Amino acid sequence: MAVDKAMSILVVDDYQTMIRIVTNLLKQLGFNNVDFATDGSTALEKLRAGKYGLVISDWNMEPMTGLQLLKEVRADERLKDMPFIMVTAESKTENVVAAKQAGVNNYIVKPFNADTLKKKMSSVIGEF
Amino acid sequence: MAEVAQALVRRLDALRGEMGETVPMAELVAATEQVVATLEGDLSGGELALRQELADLARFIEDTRREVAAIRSDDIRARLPQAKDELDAVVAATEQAAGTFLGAAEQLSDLAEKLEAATGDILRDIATSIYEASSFQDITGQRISKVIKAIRHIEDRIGALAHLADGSAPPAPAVEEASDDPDAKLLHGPQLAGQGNSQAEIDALLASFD
Repeated sequence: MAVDKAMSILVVDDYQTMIRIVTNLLKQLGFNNVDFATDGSTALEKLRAGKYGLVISDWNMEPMTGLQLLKEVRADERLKDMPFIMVTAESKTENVVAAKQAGVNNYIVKPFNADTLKKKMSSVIGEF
Repeated sequence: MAEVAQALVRRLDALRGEMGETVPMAELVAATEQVVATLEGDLSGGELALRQELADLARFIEDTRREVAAIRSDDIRARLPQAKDELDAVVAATEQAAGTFLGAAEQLSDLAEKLEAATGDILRDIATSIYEASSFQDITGQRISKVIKAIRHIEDRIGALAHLADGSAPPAPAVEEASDDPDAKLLHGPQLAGQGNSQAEIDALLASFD
């Protein structure tokens, strides 16, 4: 099934600069319906209230980390199948394992390039 | 030799009873010297060596106490907040610079839409390179946060050393609020080269779960 580029994507990061970068890269890939949150708690509220096709989240945020957000999403009956990509500077094996065990769909380590973002998104939502 | 050790232990226990668990270095040195001075009779080779070790230890403790007192901890502690302020200024400046780069890249992207395809693609590629490079600000900000935490820890330790040197009890160490997050220990931040996993290694690790 073709990917619907009109889908709404939620970008979650406590750094405004990173939100701007990811949003611009998504626009270059043809995804213009991009929303954002600067912490996990706000992201969870938006996910519960709205309709998103993908979450791209940082890990190291307060008060709710990206890993906590992922666990909350997977525990929510309505959100449990939400495609979720972690984009983070956390690169230790234990981090990747913890994220995978929590149900992450893919994992991008910062800094990353546009090609990596496209490949990881394709593996999660389909080729585009 | 056993009697000497027991005498030292008794003396130290008596000091703890008088002063609590934090015994100033000067008192430790005096206690060691007193025990050494009470050694009587012919000493065996081993006992002589022990006596010499104790005397060397007492001198070392006194020398260390003098060096710690000479640290001028107040001067150092006055400079540490300045160091933190400088680092905060670096983060603010890099954030501003990254914003400027992104603004320029966004203009290039907008311009690319108005130009013919080949030229537009070139401009889009340039804009993409700028977006990718601008993520430096996120990484430098996280690394600087780690440095600021280290400076805070050093501040606390120097404060405790200063109290030990002047014989006063150091303040109780600030108790970090226990995090509610059981995964808090996973927050390492950016790794130095060779210490974390590359994207390729992460991909292989994820694939191993399948």
